[in-house]
Amino acid sequence: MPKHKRRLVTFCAAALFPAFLVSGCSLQPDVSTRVLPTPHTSQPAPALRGATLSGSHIDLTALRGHPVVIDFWASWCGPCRAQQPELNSLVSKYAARGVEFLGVDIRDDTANASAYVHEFNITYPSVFDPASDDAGDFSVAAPPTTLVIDRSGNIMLRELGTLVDIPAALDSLLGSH
Amino acid sequence: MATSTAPRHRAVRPGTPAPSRGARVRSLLGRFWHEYTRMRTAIYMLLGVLGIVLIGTFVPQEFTSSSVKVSEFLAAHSNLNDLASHIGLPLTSVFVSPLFYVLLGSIYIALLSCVLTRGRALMVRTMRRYPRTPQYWGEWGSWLFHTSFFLLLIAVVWGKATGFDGIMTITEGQRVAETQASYDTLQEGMLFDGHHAGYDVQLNRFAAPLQANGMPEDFVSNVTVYDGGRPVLTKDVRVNDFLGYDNVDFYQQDYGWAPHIVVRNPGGEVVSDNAVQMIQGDKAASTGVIKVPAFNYTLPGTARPTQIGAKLVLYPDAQAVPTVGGAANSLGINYVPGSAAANNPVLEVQLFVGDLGLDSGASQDVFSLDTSGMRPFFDGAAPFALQLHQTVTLGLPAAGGGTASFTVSFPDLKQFSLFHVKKDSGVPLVYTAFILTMVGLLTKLYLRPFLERRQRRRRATLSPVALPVSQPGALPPQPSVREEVLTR
Repeated sequence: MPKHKRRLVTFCAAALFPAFLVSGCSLQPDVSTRVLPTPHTSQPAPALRGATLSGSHIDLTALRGHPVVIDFWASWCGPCRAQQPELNSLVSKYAARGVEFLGVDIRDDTANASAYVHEFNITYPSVFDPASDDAGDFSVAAPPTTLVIDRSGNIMLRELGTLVDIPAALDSLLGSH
Repeated sequence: MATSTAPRHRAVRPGTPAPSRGARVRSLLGRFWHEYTRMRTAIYMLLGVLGIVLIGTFVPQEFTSSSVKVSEFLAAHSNLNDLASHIGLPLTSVFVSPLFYVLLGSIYIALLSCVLTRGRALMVRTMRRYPRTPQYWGEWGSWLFHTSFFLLLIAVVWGKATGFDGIMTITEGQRVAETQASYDTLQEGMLFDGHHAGYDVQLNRFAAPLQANGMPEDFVSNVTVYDGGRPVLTKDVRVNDFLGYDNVDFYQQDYGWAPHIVVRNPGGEVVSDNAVQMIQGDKAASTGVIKVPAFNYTLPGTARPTQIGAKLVLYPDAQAVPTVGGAANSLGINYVPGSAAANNPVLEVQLFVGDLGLDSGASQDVFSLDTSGMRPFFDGAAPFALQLHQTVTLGLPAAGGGTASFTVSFPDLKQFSLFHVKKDSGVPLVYTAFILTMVGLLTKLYLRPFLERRQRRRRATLSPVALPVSQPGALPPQPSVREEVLTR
């Protein structure tokens, strides 16, 4: 093989070598694939207090002693709309058994959010969090994120985009009482 | 990096046994390694990195540019992007492309090889107390330069891996927390601890004064940082003057119009009241969408409440033109874009009624309208015009054959700022590497020539030719002094 050809082949091989070392490697995964906080936790819930969409004031600590379901939602969020009827069913089933439900409306406008509450006939209060301050405190990546808080105020379960494990978690909390 | 040419092959003498397979493989690997770690190869790789950086500068990048601009680019250059993707370089994500990592990894390996080889040689030379010649110091400068460059690459990768990079759009008067849920797009590094700063940033006002030629002379976002609920900092953020607070930096990247639109349904309920960010188009004719999923009105004969949505075009300086062959909108006036100043804001609204597609549960781009389940409100999807402070009343079929009126209002025109937000903990290391690079370069390029000149001067001074003729009884030149100069 002529010298220049040999050099070219060697050079190409040199350039391809690290491909096997670093190909497919990415320093920055998409947020949607990021490992989320552990679904089953027992960390204390951060403070959550503020004005609701209807103008009243609410404080999570006032609900201590009850299991609490907190749903982070937004009126523009399609998955929230798809999930809302199922969440309403959970309210019908568990509210009478002492479970408190609380919404947190993030990155939203009051009128749009109120129309959403009206449309789905939501009976529980929602804290209005347009700046996503509460979402940040609870490490919420995106709506809909639903958390179950136990009677002591610890986060017991966290779910993103689904409610599938909520009934079991609530049954467990209610059964242990 | 190795600077010599490739090693020559030893001539095979007749009768000499052929090298073993292992020796051949070793020789091949040696040649490969030599070629791979050559300075020439590294320069080619650096040129490759430079090319990718240039592409990244001119092509909108995912996660650091507006998603709409990325989509526009992909729509306009899909073939080019497909072609580039086949060689591992998707044009809208060049900084996370396989090719970029290959080149960066190669430069790392070549630099590491260079730093170790040269460093070992220099250490040996130092330990054995070889003469401290100018070349010796030049070698140290060169080694420091290469080491600092290696450090620079580590700093860049460390910063990317432990930080994050995102886009945040804030409308005038809006306050947004620096937290994951607030970003339009966000890319967190693999080693990022997930902890966002959590403080609020409020956009008080935005200004983009125009020059005589219609181009903006500056983009200025006046923002206030609220930490713990208290205002702690107010600053004008400009293109080259970012807001830095609690290790997170906000860079002014873009801006746009945000018309405030209010929709009342036939029951008089305000079902939408917000400023719509017009992300697409240019500043003289920008486009956006509005979606009202909770319109809370059910058309006769349908089971579910209807939804409305609209495609919007905003002309901040609308120019009315005579219509030829029919008006383009329902008010009988054609509008064309004027300047980018808000002299005569007019909103053209192309209204649709039906199903926005949101209830399926699938995530949707908030900046695009899926009209597949909708029908145009006006025949031919004609838009209607809405001037600033104007309210338009429209009718929908009501039970009993009547008309149910609803309104769309345009009470205010705001602007929004698009910020590129970054956390990069590698920055101090980058500065350190930069200082070391300068020290290395100064040593190599200035200290070494300086020492050489000084050495030549001393040689000239001590040269016997330049010395005065020895007089009888005069002392001869001191050999110890001369030797010391030459070996220093």
